[in-house]
Amino acid sequence: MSIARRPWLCGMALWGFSSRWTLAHADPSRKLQNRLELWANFAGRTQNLRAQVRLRRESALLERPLAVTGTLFFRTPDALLLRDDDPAGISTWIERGVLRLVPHRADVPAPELPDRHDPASEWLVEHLVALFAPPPPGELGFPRARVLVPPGSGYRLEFAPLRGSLARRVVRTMTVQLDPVAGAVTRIVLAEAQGDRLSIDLEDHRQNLDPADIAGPFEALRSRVGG
Amino acid sequence: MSGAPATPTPATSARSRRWEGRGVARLLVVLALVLAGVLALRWGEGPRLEDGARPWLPAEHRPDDRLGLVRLEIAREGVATTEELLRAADHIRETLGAKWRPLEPPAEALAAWTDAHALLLMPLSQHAALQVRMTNTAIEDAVRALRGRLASPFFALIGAEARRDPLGLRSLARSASEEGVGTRGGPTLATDRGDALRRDGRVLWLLHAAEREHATWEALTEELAGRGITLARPQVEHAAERVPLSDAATRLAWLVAGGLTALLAAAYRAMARPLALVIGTGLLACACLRFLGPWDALALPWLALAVVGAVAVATIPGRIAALGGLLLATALVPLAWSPIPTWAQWGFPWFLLGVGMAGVAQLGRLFAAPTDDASPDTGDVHWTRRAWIALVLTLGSGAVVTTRLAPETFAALTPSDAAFSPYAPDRIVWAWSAPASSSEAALDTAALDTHGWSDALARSDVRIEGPGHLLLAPDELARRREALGALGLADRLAQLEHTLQAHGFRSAAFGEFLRGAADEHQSPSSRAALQTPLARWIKRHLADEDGQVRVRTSFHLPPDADALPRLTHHDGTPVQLFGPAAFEATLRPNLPSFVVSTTLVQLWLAMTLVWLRHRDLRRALFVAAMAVATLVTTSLLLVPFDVPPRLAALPAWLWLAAYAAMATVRGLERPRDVRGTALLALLPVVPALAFAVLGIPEWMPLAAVLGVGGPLAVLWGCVVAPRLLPAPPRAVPPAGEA
Repeated sequence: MSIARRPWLCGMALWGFSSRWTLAHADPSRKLQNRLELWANFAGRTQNLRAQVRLRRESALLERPLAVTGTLFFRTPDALLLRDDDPAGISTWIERGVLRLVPHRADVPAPELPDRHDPASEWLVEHLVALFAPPPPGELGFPRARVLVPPGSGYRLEFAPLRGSLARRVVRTMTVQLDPVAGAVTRIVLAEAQGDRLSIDLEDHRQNLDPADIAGPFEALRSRVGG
Repeated sequence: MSGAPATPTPATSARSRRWEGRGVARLLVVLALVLAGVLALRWGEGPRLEDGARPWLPAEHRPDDRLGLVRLEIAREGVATTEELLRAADHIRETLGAKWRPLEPPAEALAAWTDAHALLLMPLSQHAALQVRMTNTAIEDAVRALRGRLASPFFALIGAEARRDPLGLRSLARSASEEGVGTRGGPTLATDRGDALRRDGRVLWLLHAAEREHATWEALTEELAGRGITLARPQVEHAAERVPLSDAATRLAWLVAGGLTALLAAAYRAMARPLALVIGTGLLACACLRFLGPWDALALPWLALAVVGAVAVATIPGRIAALGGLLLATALVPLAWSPIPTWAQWGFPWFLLGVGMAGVAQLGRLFAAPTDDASPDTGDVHWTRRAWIALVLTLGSGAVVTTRLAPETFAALTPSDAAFSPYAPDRIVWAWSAPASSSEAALDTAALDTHGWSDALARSDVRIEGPGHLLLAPDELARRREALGALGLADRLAQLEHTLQAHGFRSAAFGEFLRGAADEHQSPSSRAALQTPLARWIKRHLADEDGQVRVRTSFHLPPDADALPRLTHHDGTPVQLFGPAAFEATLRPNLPSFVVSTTLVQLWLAMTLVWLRHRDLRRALFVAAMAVATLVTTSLLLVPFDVPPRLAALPAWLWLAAYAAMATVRGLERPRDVRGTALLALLPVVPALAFAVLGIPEWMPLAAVLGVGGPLAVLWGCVVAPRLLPAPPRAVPPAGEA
């Protein structure tokens, strides 16, 4: 029995399309779990981390987007420091859940921050730190965020404040791009409710350095502002 | 009716004849009591009771109970969210309709108002700082710092402020804008509609006028519970927790009547006299409840004490009954000069009531068995060395106790304010502006006052809530315009625009605040404010009495505040503060001296009465010493029970002193009457037990003092006193003297 060429070709095309469709519409929870496992693969091994960053802010306040470089430091369990290279810039320092914004110039006063329990501040602090911290054993959940895999290519995860949270008045989404092999965070895009968009590209990740190398920038800030 | 059988002596035979001859009188008394009972039931509108929390507060210090708070709280995390809390508030607001009131100034309207007027609202004292912030260098630094902040992921949290106010000028104006009405940095955030949202977004507060039907609230509570939100009305719940005074009054009447009847019946082994005493005094008490008053939780115990006192007087020998009655009737008279309105109101009527009650109780003597009212055992007394020593020791210990006296005010009796926080009535005091002929004029006056107050309280945690911050009186407005004009604002704004552009900013995106400030046609006047969406919130602070309008400005005190702010009006006159905390603050410094002086006046009255009766100063002094001994030993005995001296119990202490004086007078007259002594000792325990079980918080301190002090008073007066001050033997008086 022979199979005619046209039905064979049609059958092959149909099989190819359906398999591609099946891949594209794979079980989203499974896909999300895979991404989270990929992320946890890197974060779970982190004792400390240093990475070079490139920041780019698109804002209605600016004629052209702002672009600066800087360095990100993280050490377990919950200390994060994002320091830009602009001499008139600012360091964003989070430790034990407390956020501080420290201008590089000593004569510039620190901006006044909202209360520590401000929903948006709390949400951002919690989730920025959680991106780099090892997840608790056996847990890959983010109870205060809606986590999904955004459409499009790349290994990405999107975090958004829960529906009804007051944090949504400030933060719309935080999208994270992962390294497809190692699982390191390579890009964070923050979509703010007022329309600004901040993207932070991370490269040259150095994981688990000598603790003294990481402690230096934190101690320098601590000696400056106390606490 | 029964009585003890007469002994076959000549004296008792004579008494028996008199006893039998009182039959008509007894019949008449019974008929009169029945008639009085029928009339009391037919006439009047029921007891005139006034129930309410904090009955000790004068009317002007009472929180406005025409407004009620509603507290919405997310009960189950994940089920309800802040958005749903806000939606629930919308629903309640729709249900309440015109009864809803803005608790806080609506956030959007307030922001619009302060943005438009912030520079004008900035105090003149800040203009020097304003000038420094608007130099070229300062502008350059501010714009550079702003650009630096853009690199932080947290710029969104501070960006809105930077957009509105790139030079940070609002911090200078803050004391005159949001900070002034307490919406910034406080425990709550005002919502756009004017409710208050706790900063964590889990609790929301609404204000409403008057009460809607209970069914409406029940339906709302049930509906919201299904959505994971609990609805609470703290005032209503506190009132529900409190035992209704009408219930307590009924139970108090039955408990005291029942207790007295049982006690008297056990003492006399008869029913006629107890019933006559209890029914007679009880009917008078019921008549007082119906026709006098209103009776609140502070006054009602006085009535019960009047009944018990009258019964006690009826049990002592007739020869000293008048003195005993007067001693108890004058017990609370010194309170006529007290700052507590209820006490001041009842001080003198209490005297008449006590005398009347004691007079009615004397009718019970018609039912007395011949031996019950026997002649006195003794007559004059003589002083011994022991008596002098006792006198010195008692007065000395009284003086020591007095120096250590630190009585508590009524604050301990107020319910926990956790459910009200941060709107706890006990943490809010208020001041009234001088009356004016129109709302605008009153608001102008309040504005002058409030700007001074915010300067005075700038470094404290006191939150000022009132419309005065948002406004400027016409003269002050002109002064500030002139001062701002001298700063060359337009030139500085042009420099700011240039600097922003030089650093890559779009200058058009900034300066809502500055543009508003530069507009000369805008002015934060009271007339303008009353035409904005803030008007409803502003009007909540106005009180119109006969065309005289006053503005109320509230001060929210921090929980650890131990003193009230000392403020003056703009014309230099001291500000009088109102509210529970203000009343407490006026009471507290004078409390020990008030308690001591009231007690001394009461003792002096007792001494005077004893002296007038016996013309014997030493006896009067001794009676007062026994009263002091009673007070001292009672206060010492209450220490192990951790019952601090409370102002609420002051009437009980005064009554106790009078009771001890009466017991001493009786003890010196009839030292060997054990049954009468036991009866006197147990009589105050009856109301004490009733007060203890009825659950009215104001009555608990009375229960402790009466329960412990009553028997002690009789111990000192009837047991110790006759042994310290023995009477010389005297001849048995002729029969029939009684």
